[in-house]
Amino acid sequence: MRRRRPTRARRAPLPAAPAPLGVLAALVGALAACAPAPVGELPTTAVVVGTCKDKTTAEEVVGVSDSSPAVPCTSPHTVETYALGALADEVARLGPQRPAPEVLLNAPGETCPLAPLRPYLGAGELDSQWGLGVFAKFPTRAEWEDGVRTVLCDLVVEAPPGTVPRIDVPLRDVMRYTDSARVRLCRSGERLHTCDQPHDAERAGDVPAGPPAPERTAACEQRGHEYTGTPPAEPGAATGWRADVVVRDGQAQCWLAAVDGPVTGTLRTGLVPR
Amino acid sequence: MRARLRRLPVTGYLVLTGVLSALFALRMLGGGLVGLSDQGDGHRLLCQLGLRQGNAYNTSTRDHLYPLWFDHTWYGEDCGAAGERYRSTQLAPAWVATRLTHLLTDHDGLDLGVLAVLSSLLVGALVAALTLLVARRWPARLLVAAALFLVAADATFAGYFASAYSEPATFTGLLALTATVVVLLRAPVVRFPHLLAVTAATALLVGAKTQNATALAAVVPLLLVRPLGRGGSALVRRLPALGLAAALVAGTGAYLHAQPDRFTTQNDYAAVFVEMLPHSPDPAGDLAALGLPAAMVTSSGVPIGAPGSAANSPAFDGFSERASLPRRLGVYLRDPVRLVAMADRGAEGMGRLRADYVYSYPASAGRPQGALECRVCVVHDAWRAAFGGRPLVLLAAYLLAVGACVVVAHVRRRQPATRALAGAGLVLAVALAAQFWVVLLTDGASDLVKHLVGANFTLALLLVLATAAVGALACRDPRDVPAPQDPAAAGS
Repeated sequence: MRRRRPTRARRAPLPAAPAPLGVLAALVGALAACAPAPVGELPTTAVVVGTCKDKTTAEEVVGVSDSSPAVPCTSPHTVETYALGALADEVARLGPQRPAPEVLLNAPGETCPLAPLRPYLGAGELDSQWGLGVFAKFPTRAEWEDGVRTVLCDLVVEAPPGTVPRIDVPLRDVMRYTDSARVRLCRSGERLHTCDQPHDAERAGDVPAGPPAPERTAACEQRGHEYTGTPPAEPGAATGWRADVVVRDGQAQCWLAAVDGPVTGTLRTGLVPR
Repeated sequence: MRARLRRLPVTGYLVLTGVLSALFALRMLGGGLVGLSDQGDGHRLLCQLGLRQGNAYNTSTRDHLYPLWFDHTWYGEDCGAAGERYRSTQLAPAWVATRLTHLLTDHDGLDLGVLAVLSSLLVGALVAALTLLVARRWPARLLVAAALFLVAADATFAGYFASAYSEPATFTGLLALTATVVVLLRAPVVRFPHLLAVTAATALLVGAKTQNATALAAVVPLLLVRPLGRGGSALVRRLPALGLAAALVAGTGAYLHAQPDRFTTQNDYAAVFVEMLPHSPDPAGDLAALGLPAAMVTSSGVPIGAPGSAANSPAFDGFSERASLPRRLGVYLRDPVRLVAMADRGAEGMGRLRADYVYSYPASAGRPQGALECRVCVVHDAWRAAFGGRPLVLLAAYLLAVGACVVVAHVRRRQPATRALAGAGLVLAVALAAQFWVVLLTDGASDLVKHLVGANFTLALLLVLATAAVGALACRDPRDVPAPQDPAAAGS
């Protein structure tokens, strides 16, 4: 028969009631905890065209709605509203609860119209934008139930992988400024990218695709002179660029190819510094 | 003697807790932290604590474990499930881990390594408690502790304890529930704290994930099976248990109601388009029975976010009302044989055991992308060898464990310590069966292996308990004194 050791006498019963009560209290706390709304949230209806926001995670940028506070567009930001869009009637009339995100994102028609984009950027006929993503932001669930159907059409600039796509200048009228290379279309070989990276050629609008190649090239050269602000020169005179026409999908694209190897920046004339 | 029964050996308990916790922490941190990468659910949970994951902008969080989470302010609907709060009891330990991270490290946010250490203490404490409850003598205790440790520390489950997922609360909830059920069932006289402890453990478990609400199928009858105290009307003596059961049911209902509608939509979509239609002999007929447009049949097998998803159409609005769980059950009950095939797929999913699309290592570990750790893989390897691709073997093991528990509970019906083991096994068996079916009927084939991880953990616990119960038949537990006769209970 085993003999009990004296130390057993020191055993104390585990507390029976306080532990479960503590657990229950912790559970209630965990389940009921409701963080207060952060200060500065901006309702969808309070957002106007030209509003900038600084959303630093991809989850925020691709979120269904957007209530982040506004920041000055001259401070670091990632998102800029260029237009207010509208949902197709067959989606806008759904309710009272907001439809699933998939329904909103795949609504028929053009929820975020591209027509206002180029005027917003201050782009002229010869300017081509690149490296900009458009994200539609829908009313929050509460706003939808209150009848709000406004859609925010937000611009986000392209950035290298893993980098927050931040800029610290407004995109409104950006094409009129010397720092517009970040949103202008250039190419290196077949790869398209923005003009703030070393490139072989810069897009300078389109020319009619119908005429024969020599006429298209001449038209493109004319565009090049307008784009760069260089006067038409004698044949063979050095301009630093050569007009290339690329016909693709029924469109004759005018490219200004750098004759002395890759360059960085834009050839566009008439730009002003910030 | 009753006083002795209520006591646990505190010194032994603390030592065992310390050893198990240290081993678990070593398993998680020794040679570098391992955990589980995030397929999205983790972000939805931890963002509610004002945290963001440490991955670079717009990079995958699935390829590697990101151990550091940073303080972050989320606005509007940017956090949670499309802006709806995702409630889980796992937020409690995660919150404590953020406080400890602030206190003990120079990192502002959450270090999953700290959460792993905290989890090690919790697991150690619970496994130690369960061990002391299950076995009396130290050789047996060591065997039980080793078995429970090998389950909790297995690579299948352990990674969750250094992750952003809510599963750790499921595992600890199951351990706590098992321990409290054993205490309740072996108590010579049921006291209110016994019932309260079971209720608290159930609340911890149910509050971890919605699918754990199935535990109520076992716990509510359990609370009512034995009346409180001695003497008097059995009905009156069951009123406290009835009150706790009602509170559990009401609380669970409120919890389920408070979960994001987005989850309901996703689950209903998966149950119809990923589970029901691809396995249906008549998909068009199923859609008609649910009152859904026939054109949606082209979305059979297409996940919700993919091109061609039925959710992309305005006709999807109101889907959850038409394809709710009761209506889906109606479809299956018209042809119940389909449920057999569904169970077969579920058992096969359980046999696979471990989700192979969430990974174990941080990028700094220098492992190839998508590497899975296997520091402790005894249960995994044995499970895969026995049950992998053999759903009938898994079913047989389950039925054998249930049968063993029934036999032991009957043979040792007057010996509470052993009877309690078998009873706890049966509670787990009922909870497991309920969870298995709920997972299949609410999510089905979508993400099946990961959704069944709670069911797998429950089955592993059940197998340990059943084995311990059978072992107790062979060697009598000295705590097994005949239960006192309760005239009122006997007469009720």
